[in-house]
Amino acid sequence: MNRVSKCLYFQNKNMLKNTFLYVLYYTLAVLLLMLLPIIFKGLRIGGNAYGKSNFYLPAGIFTFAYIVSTYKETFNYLLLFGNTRKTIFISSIVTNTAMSLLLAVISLISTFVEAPIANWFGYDSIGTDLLDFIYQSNSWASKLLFIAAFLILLAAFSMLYGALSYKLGKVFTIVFWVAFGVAFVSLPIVAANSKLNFIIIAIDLFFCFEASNGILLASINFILLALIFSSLTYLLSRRQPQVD
Amino acid sequence: MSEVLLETNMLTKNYGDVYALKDFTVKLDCNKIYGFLGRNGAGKTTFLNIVSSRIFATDGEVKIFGQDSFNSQEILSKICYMPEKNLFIGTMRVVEILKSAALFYNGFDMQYAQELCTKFGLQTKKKYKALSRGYESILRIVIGLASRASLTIFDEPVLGLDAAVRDMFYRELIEDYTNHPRSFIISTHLIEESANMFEEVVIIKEGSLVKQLPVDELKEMARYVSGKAASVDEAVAGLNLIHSETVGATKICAIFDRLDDEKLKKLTRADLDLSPIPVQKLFIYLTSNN
Amino acid sequence: MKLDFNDEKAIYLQIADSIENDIIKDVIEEESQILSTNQMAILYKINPATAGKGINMLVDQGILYKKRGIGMFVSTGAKGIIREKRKSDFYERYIASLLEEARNLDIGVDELIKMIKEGGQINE
Repeated sequence: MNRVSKCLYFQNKNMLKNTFLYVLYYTLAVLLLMLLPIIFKGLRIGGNAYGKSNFYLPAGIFTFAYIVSTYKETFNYLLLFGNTRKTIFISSIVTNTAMSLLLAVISLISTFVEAPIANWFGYDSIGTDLLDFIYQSNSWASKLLFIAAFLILLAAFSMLYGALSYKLGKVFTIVFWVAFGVAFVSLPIVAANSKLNFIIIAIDLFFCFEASNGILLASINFILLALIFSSLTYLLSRRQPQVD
Repeated sequence: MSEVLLETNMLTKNYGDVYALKDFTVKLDCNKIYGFLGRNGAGKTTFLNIVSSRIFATDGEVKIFGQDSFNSQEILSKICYMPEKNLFIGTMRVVEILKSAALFYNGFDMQYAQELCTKFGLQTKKKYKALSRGYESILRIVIGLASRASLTIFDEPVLGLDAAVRDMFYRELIEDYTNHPRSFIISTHLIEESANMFEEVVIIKEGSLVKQLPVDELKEMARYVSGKAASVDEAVAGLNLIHSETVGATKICAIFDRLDDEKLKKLTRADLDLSPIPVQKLFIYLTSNN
Repeated sequence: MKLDFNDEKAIYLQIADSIENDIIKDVIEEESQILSTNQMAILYKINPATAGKGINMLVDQGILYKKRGIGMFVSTGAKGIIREKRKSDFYERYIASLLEEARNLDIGVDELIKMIKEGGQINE
């Protein structure tokens, strides 16, 4: 077994364990929520409707949280055992991509599985898939591709975040989240301001909202951006001295 | 003929104006136990961190087993470096960490590791974050010894351990070294009790190499010369003086030099007293500013 | 054998001395096997190179010899070699310092000889 395989073994073992636990807890939570109105009969407000869960959104949050929170300890641990930064990088990319694909597949399965289960509990399933709302004409294959690309992009971003946080420390974390908050809050202002229209146009182009087959084009954009993020991460980490 | 284990040439590490290592040039042979001795902050850890690719030198070069070690997976696979800092993952159990060691070090002897855990009383089911400082050191010792890595490096391995456990470590080190010869570099400031382990010592002071020499020369070259000031001064003229003090009418000088018969004769006079220098004191003199 | 790292004498010399003492006192007999370098290293917790240096010195002086594949043995006639060696050391080690100390205490050579004779009679 070469060193990359050994790192893959270690990282994937942890990744699978944590992903499994997350999906398990999530499923139990959802089932519990479904059960509550049945248990407490009086709690039913409105009809018996169940909305689509769009699992890929919480999956995205999990991806970000998992990669960012384990970046430093994993890097230090693997470096301690004599792995080169290149080995660690390759192993991390593969593990994170595998995680994204795994979660994408689980997302897809959940879209097929939730309706029958909800019905079994006595709910009428309504609610739209967010993707159908945003993009036109989507087959399940294209949705799978989109979700996979989206999660891969998120994973690549998380790795870049992890690398910057490792390098710059708390300063980075504070600056990032302040900037994020500001951007989030100022989006409506930007949207209203015709002078800053180019930002809206850029977002539009990136997500290909208008285009037919937008869902596929957006996926390509996601992958390209993910490659850029990954390259930046590699450049940052290849001569990164160990930080305790 | 010994192969070359490690060679550095003008190795330098500075943070702005502060030099952690300066023009450090050293050559070590394979299959010896080396002691790296120096005060706190002398640069031992910086040196070891560079050698093991944890941090990067500002200048100079390092070759391990004849090759440039920077980011060389082939070379790094032959090195087991157990640093002073805690870099294991806190939520992992000791046994899982040992399994990682078995995964990453080709020659890792799990049975030996388990025996060591029993000998030292390290509970393998415990989580790393639950270990006391002493047991953290013991875990590093277990991994370092059981790794059987061609170059095994310990940075301050006995921190937080009481005398009895330190003694156990020295015994295990010698026993495993004799049964499975390999290269060891051990950095420590506990010179007195660990000197017997070493074949050669490298003494570091303020980022520079002070001396590299076989351990018995530490004694053969060191003497206290005491007596009347005038006599002492005459006798030690031309010798490497590392310390001197005056107590009343008596002057005591510490010399550190190659003492051939001729030089020794000059020192063996009726009005002079020659005595050995305790290793601890010798170490202080060699690493202080005189 | 107790090793004193703070003694003036290098460890490998202390080891050699100690083996010689054991041979002279018949604790180890000629043609018997002694501990190997490795065994000695483990027993006294010293680097095997140091133990080896002491043993090799004795091999060079003909006091010990190596039987390939078995270990280190005491040579026949080792006792004799050690005695000869120590006799020539004897003056330097004991007589010279004895004379100096006597001089310091103003003990004349005749008085010294008288003391030695008395001491010799007690020991007989």
